[in-house]
Amino acid sequence: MNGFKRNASGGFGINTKTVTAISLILVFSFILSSCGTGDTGADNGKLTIYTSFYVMYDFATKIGGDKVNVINMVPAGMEPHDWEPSPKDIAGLSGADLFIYSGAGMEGWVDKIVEAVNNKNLVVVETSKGITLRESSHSHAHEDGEANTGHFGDEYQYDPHVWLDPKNAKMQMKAIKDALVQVDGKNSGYYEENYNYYAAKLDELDRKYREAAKTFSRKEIVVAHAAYGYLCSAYGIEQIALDSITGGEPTGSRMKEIIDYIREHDIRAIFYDGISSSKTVDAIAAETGIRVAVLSAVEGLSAEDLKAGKDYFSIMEENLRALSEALQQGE
Amino acid sequence: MPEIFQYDFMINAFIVGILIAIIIPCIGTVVVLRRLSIMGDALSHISLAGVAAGLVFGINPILSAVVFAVIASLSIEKIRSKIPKYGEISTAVMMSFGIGLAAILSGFVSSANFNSFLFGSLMAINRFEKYLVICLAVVVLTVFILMYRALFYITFDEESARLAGIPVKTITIVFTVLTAVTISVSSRVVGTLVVSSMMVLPVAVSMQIAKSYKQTVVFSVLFSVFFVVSGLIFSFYLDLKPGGTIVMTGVISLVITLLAGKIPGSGRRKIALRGDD
Amino acid sequence: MHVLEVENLSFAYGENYILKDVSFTVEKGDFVGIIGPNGSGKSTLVKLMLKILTPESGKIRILGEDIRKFGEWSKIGYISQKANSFNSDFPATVNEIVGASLLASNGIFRRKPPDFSERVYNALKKVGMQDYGNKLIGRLSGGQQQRVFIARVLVAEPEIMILDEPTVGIDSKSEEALYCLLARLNEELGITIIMVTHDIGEISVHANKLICLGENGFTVHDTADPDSDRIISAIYGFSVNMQNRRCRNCDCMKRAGCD
Repeated sequence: MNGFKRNASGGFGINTKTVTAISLILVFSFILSSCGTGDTGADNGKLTIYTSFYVMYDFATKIGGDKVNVINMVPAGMEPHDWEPSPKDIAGLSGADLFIYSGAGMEGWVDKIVEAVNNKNLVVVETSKGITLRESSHSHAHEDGEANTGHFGDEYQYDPHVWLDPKNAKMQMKAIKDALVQVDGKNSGYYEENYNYYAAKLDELDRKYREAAKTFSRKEIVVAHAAYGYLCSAYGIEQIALDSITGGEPTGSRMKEIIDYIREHDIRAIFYDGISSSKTVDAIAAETGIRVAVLSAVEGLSAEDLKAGKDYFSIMEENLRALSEALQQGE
Repeated sequence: MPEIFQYDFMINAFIVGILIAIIIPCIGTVVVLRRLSIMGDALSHISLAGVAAGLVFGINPILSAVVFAVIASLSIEKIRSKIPKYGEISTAVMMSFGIGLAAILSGFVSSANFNSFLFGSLMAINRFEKYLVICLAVVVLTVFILMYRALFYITFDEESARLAGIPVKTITIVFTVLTAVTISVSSRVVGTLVVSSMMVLPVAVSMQIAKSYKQTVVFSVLFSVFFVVSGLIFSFYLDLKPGGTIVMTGVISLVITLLAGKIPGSGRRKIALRGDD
Repeated sequence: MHVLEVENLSFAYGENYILKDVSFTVEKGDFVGIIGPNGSGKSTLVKLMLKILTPESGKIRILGEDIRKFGEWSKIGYISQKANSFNSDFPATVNEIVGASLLASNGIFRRKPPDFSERVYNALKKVGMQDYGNKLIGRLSGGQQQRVFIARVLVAEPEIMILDEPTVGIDSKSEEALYCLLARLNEELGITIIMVTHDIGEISVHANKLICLGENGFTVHDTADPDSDRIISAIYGFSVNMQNRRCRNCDCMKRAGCD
């Protein structure tokens, strides 16, 4: 507060001029900082890619390798459904070459952000385009072609978690590869090579799942949220969800239904995604005496998981182990 | 034994719900009669901000909610006693601060977690919460019973109370802290939106029929327990969210008692008529 | 021992001296009226007597003790102006209100005294409200409520009763009854009464001492003094009609030897 000295007549030293000067400086710096940097990301010769959330980040990094700089928008530990981009994010996007997102309602904010960005050269990739979408278990009929917004299950018709089926993941990787080739043709060989490598890995993952599924003695899993539709339908599993709408606890009668179901079908584990609160599944597990297990929807990774070097593949392998434990033999 | 009681999670909901239903109107009667209902709202919102802060910084959200609420309540009380003119507006400012801060912080926190503090988590009470509520109930009831007479006097006529030698300042501070703790802990269980209603509705219904202060307190506890128990039962059999059902039961009850009061000859009058000398 | 001693009392709100060097004494059994035009500091004087305010200068002694050290406040009963404007929806019964006062004077955290109900009843009887024990305070008339507040004070067995404009908002019939009641308490129970009022006529009948506060000072004198009419008119700036003491048509006054 040292601008506030009293002057001889007893008034404060700060006068209108100073106030105006300070305000103008603040206003200008604000305007300047919110202007796009305008550089087209060719700082170190790498392409600048913005991805919406973790899975896209992982795929983009794998395909793009050391030719790209990938920036993930949804921070570690946050759920992509809840996240909203800030003006800073929009500004950053203006300086990007590629924007990669999943689509099918996963990122409700995409339309807004793409409109707001003033970069005609930005290539926007909706990786789920072309994938056959499943309806979400709580689909509401849309009245008038309302834009698909926000939360999965909220007003939403389709289950957006397409990448949980390795075959879909392959299509998404292909979309990314195609976009990279389009933007950076001279490295297309590099991108093709990476794509083929990971496509093979995905095929291998799919094979492992199919083999394991043959040994499952049960076909039902009880889950906190119905996020695993693609995974389940690919391998003949049925998901019984506590509540298919994210956020908000289930009602008492739903809890009872699930508990009864668990007891009647001798279910041994209840799954949740590992990042939301496990309170409800803990309560059900405590009452029925079963285990709580993690079945990740690979939506977001915590900072520790990232440090530990986990990625889509390692998590899907973990998922497979968890499923096998719950569904294989052993009465 | 009816179906509803065959499930642990419902029994926990009843235990915790009933305990909270007992203590909230004890606080609520004093708050409403001191014309401080807005304080209840303000503290719920501040608790929410506290929860958000706790979730963001990795501190137990109930603890941070309590800390925020206690600090806020003591500040409001201090302003009220020093500058009574600003008492109401400072409470309103505090409430807005709570809402604003909660909204900002909610951007950094998963909405599912956050929502569970708004709407409560009655269906998934864990051990920690159960024991916390039991301890809270014991403390609040004990203190309330001990301070019952003093609170009555202070609420009715603060100036006389002071002259009569009652330690008004101390009691007010203790009560304020108790209010803050009750609201913040209860918010975890029934949700901030429900807590404010539970402070006011049972008292409002009780005042329709009570014929003394003691009756006001007792009836508001009874009504509150009734709202919670029937709310839980309705929500279970009608597949509705428990928090909202409890509040709606209260609202419907209030409307019924108000209407019943209008029936001529029922002997119940809302408007106090002055008797003869 | 004087029951109340005020010596050179001065009090200012900001720069405004509302009381300057006021001095007077009150003896046991006095019925004192504090009168004066609006803004003359009557309520301020009362608040100083109750230690709600602190004086700029001067001394106050209550029951022989310096007010700053005085601790037996249950001996002082106070009926504030606000008693008329409390929240009338407040769901308290007459018994609860009087009872609370008894419990407070006994020690609010102590056990209830064994003769609790009896004492509450008796206090109500003294003011003629013993049949209203279970009634809600909000349902009573202004006069009745005022009597309950007096009972509230009585139950603590005070030596002094200080009232701040207790007749505001009360119809004249109740007002008369109130004065009679106070006079009776004063004469039969020996309670010293100090009352702030606007009504010079009424108070001069019952009071034996009048303290008149004004812009230019204050006067204290016996109501029996024939000069009082002139002196007080001077302070008020207009003629006040003081009636002769003890000449009112009231039962209690008849007992006291009124014509």
